[in-house]
Amino acid sequence: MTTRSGATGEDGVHFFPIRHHSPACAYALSRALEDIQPAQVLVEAPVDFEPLLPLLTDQRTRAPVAIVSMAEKAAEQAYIATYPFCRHSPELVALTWARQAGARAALIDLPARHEAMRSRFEGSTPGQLVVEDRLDHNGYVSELCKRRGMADGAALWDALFESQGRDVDWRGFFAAVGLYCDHIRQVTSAEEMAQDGTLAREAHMAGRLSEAMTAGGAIAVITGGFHTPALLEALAKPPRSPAVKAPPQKAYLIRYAFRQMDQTSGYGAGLPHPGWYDRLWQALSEGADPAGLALSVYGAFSDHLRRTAPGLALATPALAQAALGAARLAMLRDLPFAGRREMIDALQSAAVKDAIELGQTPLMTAFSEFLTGDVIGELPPGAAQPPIIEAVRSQARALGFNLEGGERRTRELDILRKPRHAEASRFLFALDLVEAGFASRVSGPDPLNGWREDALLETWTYGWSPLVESRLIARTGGEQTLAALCRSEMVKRRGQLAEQGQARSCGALAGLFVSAARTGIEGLAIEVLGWCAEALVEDPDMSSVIRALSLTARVATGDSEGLGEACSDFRSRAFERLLLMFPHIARTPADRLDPLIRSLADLAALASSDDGEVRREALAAAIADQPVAMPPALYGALAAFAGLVGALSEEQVAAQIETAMDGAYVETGARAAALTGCLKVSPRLLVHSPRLLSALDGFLGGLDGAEFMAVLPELRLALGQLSPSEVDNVAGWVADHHGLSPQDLAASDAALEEVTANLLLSERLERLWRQDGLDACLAEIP
Amino acid sequence: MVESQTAALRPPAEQTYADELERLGAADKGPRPGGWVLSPRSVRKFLIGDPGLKVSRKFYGDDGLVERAIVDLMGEQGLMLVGEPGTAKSMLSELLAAAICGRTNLVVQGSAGTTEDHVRYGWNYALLLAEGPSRRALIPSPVLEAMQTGRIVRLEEITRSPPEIQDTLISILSEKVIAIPELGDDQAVYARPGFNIIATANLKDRGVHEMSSALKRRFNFETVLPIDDPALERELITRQLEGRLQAAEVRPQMSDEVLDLLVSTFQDLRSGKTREGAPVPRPDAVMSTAEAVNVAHAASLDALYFGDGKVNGGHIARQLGGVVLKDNADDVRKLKAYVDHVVKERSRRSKAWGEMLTALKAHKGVS
Repeated sequence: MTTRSGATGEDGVHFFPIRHHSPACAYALSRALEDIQPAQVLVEAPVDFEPLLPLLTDQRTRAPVAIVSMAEKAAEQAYIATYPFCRHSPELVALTWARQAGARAALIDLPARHEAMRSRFEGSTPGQLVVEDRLDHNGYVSELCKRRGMADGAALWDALFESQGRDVDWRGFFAAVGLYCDHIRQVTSAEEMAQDGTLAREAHMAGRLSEAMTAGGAIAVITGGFHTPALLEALAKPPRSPAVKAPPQKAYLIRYAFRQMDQTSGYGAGLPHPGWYDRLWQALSEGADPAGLALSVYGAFSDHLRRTAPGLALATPALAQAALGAARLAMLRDLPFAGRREMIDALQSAAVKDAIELGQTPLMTAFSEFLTGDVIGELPPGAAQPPIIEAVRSQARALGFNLEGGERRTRELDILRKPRHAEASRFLFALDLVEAGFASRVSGPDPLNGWREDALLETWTYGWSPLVESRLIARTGGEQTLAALCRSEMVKRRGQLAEQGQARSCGALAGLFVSAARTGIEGLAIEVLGWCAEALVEDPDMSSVIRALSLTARVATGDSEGLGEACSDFRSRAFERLLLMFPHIARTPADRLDPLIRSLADLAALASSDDGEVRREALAAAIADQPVAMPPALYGALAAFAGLVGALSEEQVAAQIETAMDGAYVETGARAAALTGCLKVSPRLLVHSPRLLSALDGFLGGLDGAEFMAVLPELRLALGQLSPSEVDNVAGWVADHHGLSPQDLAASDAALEEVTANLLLSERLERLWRQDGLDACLAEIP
Repeated sequence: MVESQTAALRPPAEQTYADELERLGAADKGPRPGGWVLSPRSVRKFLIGDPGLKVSRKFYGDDGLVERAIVDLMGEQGLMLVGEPGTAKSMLSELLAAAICGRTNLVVQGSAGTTEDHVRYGWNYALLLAEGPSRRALIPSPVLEAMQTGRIVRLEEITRSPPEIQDTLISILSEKVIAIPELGDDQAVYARPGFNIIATANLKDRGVHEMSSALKRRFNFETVLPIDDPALERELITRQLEGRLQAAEVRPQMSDEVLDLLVSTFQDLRSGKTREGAPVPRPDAVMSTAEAVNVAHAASLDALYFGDGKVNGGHIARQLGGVVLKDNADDVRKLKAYVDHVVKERSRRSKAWGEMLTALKAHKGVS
């Protein structure tokens, strides 16, 4: 075990082992830099981010911000890598100091897209360039946690370092951080470090350091504490800087949000609840006593609750108790002032008056969000942005969207009459497709959900925010235009469908086609339609083909060249395929029966509209010759469908259903299913056809109590299709037919379940009485 | 009138751990809140252990909970421990009382029969008739006694006592005084520093009364959760079992495999999933660590007096039936499903699980 200090080096080289985003490190570092006034400041960050340093340290830049690295060409290694900074990042503090003091600032890590940098975020998009989960999860830290009675590594770090306060002696502080990280390094295997690129990166850092040393003068080296021991060792035998090969990249400084930096949201470095550490940093840098922080944070939280969630608002005594409790917990845990953990614990004790069995209570969730913070960074005007951001912003401006101010605005689009509005609508749909969160549609026609097809106007609310930027960046893998982004999104969604086992479902793919067509992106809709056509050949599911037919019927194909022809070509092929499927309809598996029956209603609606491709006569011919042996619900549904496409008259349909209910099936429930199937396709049939009504009436009259109970579920499904006025009509007919007044049929207050239970009970009682020879008594009951 | 407690079946915590408390007291240099025998840090050490002072760990699970509870007791509010049955709420409250005021016998047991006399004061009626109301005739409740002496009083199962009795605590907690008008004007007992209340409650059991929000406001709530770390639960069961078997002359042997079986069965049935993450039906019966200790104890005695002194899976299984199969017919079905899917699978690889399978199959309710 070494006791070597991490903070002092020979040859005027000062090592500062830090933890990324740690306010205590940032504060001690700022004091140290003032004391030693180094001529050079070396920071662990990708060397190819150096050109962005002036922008990063610009006075008008407000953290949190991040540097993102994108591939120069969209095709190659299409991932992006992010390096975030907040106000309390020691790296940013050092770089800002260097600029103000006129010292040379240099970045010493490998280039952002170097292979050794990549291994750390395989599979995650966007990749994080700052990862330090080692500081929290290893044998040394868990043993230390156990000995000190700490819940986890973050709590331990807080207790050891963040609690140091203002009067910190920076030499002792960095010696302690260095020792802590050195121990962690000792429990990490060399093999692991070689594999994840750590050793390669350290070799590069050491090379850059020895280059810097030739210039002379004091040097401050700011790296993650984990790397400091390696750099100290390398001082003894300076390595030659190895030649570095990395794919070309483009890097941009973007705005960032605390929410994205929170460790709990999947960010691999830094500390949980960045909002809390930001307040701690504020207190430290303003010279305020951090002991007063607890009360001011609770006060601000209480204020925040009154504004956002008055139902959760805290009473003043509870607040005072929480503040007192936090201070006492800090004392008990041997800390100079209450930290994040103490604040959370004390609030929970003082304000949650209930058992917390599983997960969180609303109040503690709100507090956690509050501690995370909602701060979003700022950039100097005119800072270059990733091409996708620039592209989307300029397109939005050109289409008349106001991007200034950040508040949400409402815009109505007259999509059928004004070409510019139609274009704006397509643009919004494209952004919607990539889930940018820029705009949301309030009203308008929606072919996917069968919603207001006749509407002329679309209403949207929209607003530009850094969140839109970060979502766009998170989505891109290097695409530079919205159209390209939409294209990759489509490919991704097709892949998702395949994962769900729907690769052959042309109905599901037609849903994608609708989304693609709405974006109006040149050629995209035709491409997706091609996928639909491929799937059509293999799709075994009739309801899926019908869905594809009805979805494609509603897409406006006006502007795009060739889309109209492609669409009608696809639809006529889909219809032909559908006709071929009709003879096999009786073999539909039971689990697909219900969607099929529902889609028959859609098909009938298509046939009766002026649809060029879906021809009524062809359908009528296709269903003319059906076997009788099929599930009763399908039998009923097909009868109704035949009626709708004109193959059967209403009388004939009613006759078929009547036959089915008269006993073609053994089970009583199955007999009623014929009616259910019929009504699902054509709910109105029952209302218009007295013959069907009397058939139903006769059927019900012939059932005994137990049989009625058996058909009841099916009947409820069937009659549930009717509208209230239709139910009224049917009830009127029933009353008439039985010589009653409609009032006699009025529903009682009793719930259906209760009536059913009572009926069953009285039946059982009756049976028991009969068994006991009490028939005579039964006769007396009215 | 001190009874000899040398032969007590279960001596109070301050007697069991007298030497630990003495060592802690001797080494304690920290500031002590008014009326406290030990400083808050020493109280913490007493509960979660300090190898340096040879103080054993007594509370297993959440150390943060212990710290919060100690801090709660330093304040004006009472401490309310809530959670499922068998999560060692009462043990925690006893240990806290032992460490903070050195005495744990001031207890009020909440029940439907709890009256105001148990919370405030009663009278020795012979003296009352002979002398009239006097201090001599007054019988203080544990609460009143705690106020007079500046100690901790424990209220067990507070939600089982009627709401009007619960609410007599409101003024005691906020004013810290009980007036005794029978003794004359201005006669009252004021609480001395160190007085506080630890209540335990089960919010979900049958037959409990809802607490008023006025009362809730005067308590800080801490939830005691079942132990979810198998290693910790194992350690706890071993230690508790050792304590209980001290009286027996011959020690039964429980192998690691059998102990592991006991802990996994309880953890599986309590959490509703196995270590491997497979779902398991959760019985309604309480599957607490305390019950696991009971099972281990009974199984050990079974092995000792009716077997060869070696506890096997069969002994555990026979006792397990008594824990899970209480009054709920559904639980029988659930245990059967667990036997069919999990125990059977594990019995292929482990002898203890095989013995358990055989014993459970022979159990009338399960087979």
